[in-house]
Amino acid sequence: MGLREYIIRRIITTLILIWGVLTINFLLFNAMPGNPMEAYLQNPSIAMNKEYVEELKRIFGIGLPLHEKYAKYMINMLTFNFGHTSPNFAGQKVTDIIFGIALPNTILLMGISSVLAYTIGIILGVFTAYKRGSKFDTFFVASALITSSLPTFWMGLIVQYIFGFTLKLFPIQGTYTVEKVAELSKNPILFWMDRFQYLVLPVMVITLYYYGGFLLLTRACLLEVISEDYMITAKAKGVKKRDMLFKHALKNASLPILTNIAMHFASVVIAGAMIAESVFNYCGLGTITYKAIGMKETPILQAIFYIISLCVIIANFIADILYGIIDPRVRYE
Amino acid sequence: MTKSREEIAIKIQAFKRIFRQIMESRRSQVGIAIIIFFGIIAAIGPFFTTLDPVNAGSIHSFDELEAAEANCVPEWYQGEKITHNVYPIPTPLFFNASQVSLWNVTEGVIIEYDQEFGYDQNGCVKITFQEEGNATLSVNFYYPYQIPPKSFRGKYRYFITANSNASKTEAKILILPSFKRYGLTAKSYRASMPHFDYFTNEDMDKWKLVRNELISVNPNLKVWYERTYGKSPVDVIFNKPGNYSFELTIQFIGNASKVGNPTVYVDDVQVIVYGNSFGLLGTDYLARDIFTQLVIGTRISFIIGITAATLSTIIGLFYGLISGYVGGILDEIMMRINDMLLVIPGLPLLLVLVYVLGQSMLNIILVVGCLGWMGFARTVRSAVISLKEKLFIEAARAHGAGRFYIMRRHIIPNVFPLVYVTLAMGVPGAILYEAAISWLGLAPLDVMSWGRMLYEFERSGSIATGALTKWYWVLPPGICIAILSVAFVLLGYALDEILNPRLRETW
Repeated sequence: MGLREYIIRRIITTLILIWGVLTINFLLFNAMPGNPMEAYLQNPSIAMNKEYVEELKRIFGIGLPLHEKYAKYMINMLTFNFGHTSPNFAGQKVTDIIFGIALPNTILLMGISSVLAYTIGIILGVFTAYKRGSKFDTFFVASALITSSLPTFWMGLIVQYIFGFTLKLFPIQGTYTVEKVAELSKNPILFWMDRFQYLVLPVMVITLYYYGGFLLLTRACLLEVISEDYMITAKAKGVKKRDMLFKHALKNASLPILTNIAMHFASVVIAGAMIAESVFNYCGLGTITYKAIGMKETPILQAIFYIISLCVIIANFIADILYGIIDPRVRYE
Repeated sequence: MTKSREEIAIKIQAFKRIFRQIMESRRSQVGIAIIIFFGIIAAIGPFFTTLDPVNAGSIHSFDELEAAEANCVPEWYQGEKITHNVYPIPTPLFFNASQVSLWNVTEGVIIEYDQEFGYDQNGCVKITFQEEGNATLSVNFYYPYQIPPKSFRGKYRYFITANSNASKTEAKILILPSFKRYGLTAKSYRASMPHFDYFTNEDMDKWKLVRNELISVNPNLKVWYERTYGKSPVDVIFNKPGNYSFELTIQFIGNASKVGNPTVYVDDVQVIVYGNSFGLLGTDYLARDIFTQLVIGTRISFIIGITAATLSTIIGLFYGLISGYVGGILDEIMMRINDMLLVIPGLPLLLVLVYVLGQSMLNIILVVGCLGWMGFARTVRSAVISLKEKLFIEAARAHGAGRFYIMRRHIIPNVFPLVYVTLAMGVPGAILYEAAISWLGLAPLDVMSWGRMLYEFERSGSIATGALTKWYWVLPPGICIAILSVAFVLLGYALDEILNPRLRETW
C-alpha cells in the first residue's frame, strides 16, 4: 500500500471517528439530568414571556423525538453552530468564548509548558542514561518519579505559597491584571509582559508534572541503543560526548519518544491541564469546562468536547503521516 | 489429578522464583515496604481513630461534645500562644453514689443518689426541694495557660417532676452554670445565661438536654459580657492561670408546698475548655480531626486505586484479547471504538460522567475503571497479534486445538505478565484521578479522601493566606498521594523488569 492509499484510508477512518465522537457526545449530554433551558427559566421575566419560552424550546429541541434531535444536533455540530450560553454564563456566543478566549489561552499555557517539559525531560533523560547508576542518575530519576506522582493542584498550592505569598515574585491567580487591562492593551510589550507574569507559576507546575515522564522514557529508549556497537565505534573514533549522545544515540532512539510526544501533545496539550488551570484560576478550556459542568451548560460542554476531540483526531492524523517522512522504516499497512 | 498437582507445584515454584527476584531489587523493596505500611494503616486505621472524619464537629453522636475547636494547630506544636484542651470534667458525669459528694446543698434541700433512674437508667442525682434553696455541683480544675482558651462548651440533662401545676410566677427552677476563679477572693462568672424552668405540663416529666446555651460563643452570653465587662466571656473568665471550679447551681424559687416538694434529677454533665491545639495534625475549619481524615483517606485511596486499576486491567485484557485474536472486521470496529474513547478529553469526560451518575464512591471507581483501559487494550492486542503468528500456536492449531483452548492455554499465559505490570502502574493513575475529582468538588459527600482534604482546605478560605500557613493540613495528603503512587510505580518497574525480560537492561 502506498502513501496515497494510506492517506485515503486514514481519512475514511478519521471521518468515522468524528461521527463516533459526535454520537457519544450526543448520548452523554442527553443522559445529563435536567435540560439546558432550566438556566433560562430561573429568570422570572424570561419564564413569564411565553413567546420566548416557546422560542427556547424550539432552539433546544425540547419535546422532539430522539432521532430528530440527533439529526438537528449533527447538522449544528458539523456547521459549527454551537449557539449561545445561558444568561448565567454571560450569554455570549459559544464560539466566541472557545475560539476567542479559552482555546488560545490554553494553547499558550500548555504550549510553553509542554515544550519546556519535552526539552528538560529529553536532555536530562540523555544525561541520566549516560551516567546510569550514578548519584546524578538516581537523583533525577527519583525526582522525576515524585514530581509526576504529585497531584498538580497540590504542587500549585505549594508554588503559589512560595513564589506568590512569601517571595511575592509572581501574581497568584488569574490570566492578566484585570484592573490595568485597558491601559495595557495599548502597549503590546507591556501587555505580554503582564501575561507572562501570570503564566510563570502554572507553567512551572505543569512542566514539573510532565517532564518526569519524558525523562524516564528518553532514558529507557537511550539505554537500549547506548550499548550498541556503533556507539562504541563513535567513542573509539573520538566523537565528542555531546555529539555522541545527541546525534548518534538520541537520533536512533527518537521514534518512541516522538510517538509519545505526538500522543501527549494531542491528548494533554489541547485538552488542557484542567486541574492546573483551576488552581491558578487561569481562563482556559479547563476552567471553562469545570465551570460549565457545575452550571450544567450543555451547549458549551458539547462544543468543547467536540472541538478538543477534533483537534486530537487531526493531530493524530498529522503525526501518523509525519512518521513515514521522519522514519523510512515505517511501512504503511 | 496428579498431573494438575504437578502443574500447581511448578506454578508455585515459578511464583516463588519471581517473588525472590522481586525482593532482590532495592527499588521493589522500598515500594513493597511503603505499600505494606499504607496497607496496614488502611486496614486497621478505622479501629484506632474514634473521631468522625466527615461530619462537622468531629463527633459520632449529637450527645457528645465536640472533641476540639475548629482551626486548631497540632498538639505537639510549641509556642507561647498554644493552649490545649482542659477538661474540668474528663468524661461526662453519669453520676454514681460517690459523686454525690461533689454537691453542696442549702438547708431544706435533700440530695441523694438514685440508682434506678437517670437518662440511661444507670443512676443520677436526685434533688428534692422541701423549701426554697439551692444545690450546687462543684468540680475543681486547674487552668495552666497565660492566654485565654478559644472557647468553652458544656451540656447537662435534667428532669423536673412535681405533684401539681403552678403558674409561672408562683414557682420556678433556675439553673445556672458558672466558673469560679480562686485567688485572694473567689469570684464567680456565668458560663451561660440563667435557665428557667416552670412547673407546667410542657416543662415537666421529661429529660431535657441543654447544649446550645452553655457555650462561650452563645450570642446572649456574649452580649451580656460585652455589656458588663467589655470583653468576651473567655477573656474575662480565663484571663490568668489558676485554680478554677465549674459550678452548676440548681435553685428553687417559690413555695415548695404549693408544688408538692419538687424534685430535679440531673445527669450527664460535661464541660470542656477548648484550647487552640488538638490531635496530631490539628483540626480543619469544621472542627474535624485532620489526622483521622488522613488515616481514613488512606483506606479510600487504596480501595479506589486498586479496584479501579483492576477493573480497567480486566476490561483492557479481554478487549485486547478478543480484538487481537478474532481479528477482521470485529477488530476494526473494536479499535475504532477504542480510538473514540481515547480522543474524547479524559478528565472532563470523567467529571461529566460522575456528575450524571451521581457522586458516590462506586461511581467514581466505575468511571475511573471504565475509562482507563484503552491503552492497555492496544498493548494486549498487539501482543496477541504477534503471538498468533508464532510457530507453537500454529502447531497447536495443527493438532486440532480449538480457539478457546489456544486462547486459554497459550495466549493468556503469554500476555499475563503484562497484567501485573499494568495493574501496578494503573494504581497511581487511579489515585491521582480520584484526587482530581475530589479536588474539583465531586467527591462523595460521606467519604473523606486525600483529595477531598485538599478540596476542603480550598473551600475553607484559608487559601487566601497561602497554603503553607496551614502546612499540617496541606502537606500530609499531597505527600501521602505521592509516596503511595511512587511505591506502586517502583513495584511496577520491578515487575516489568522481571516479567518482561526485554527491559532487563534498562531498569
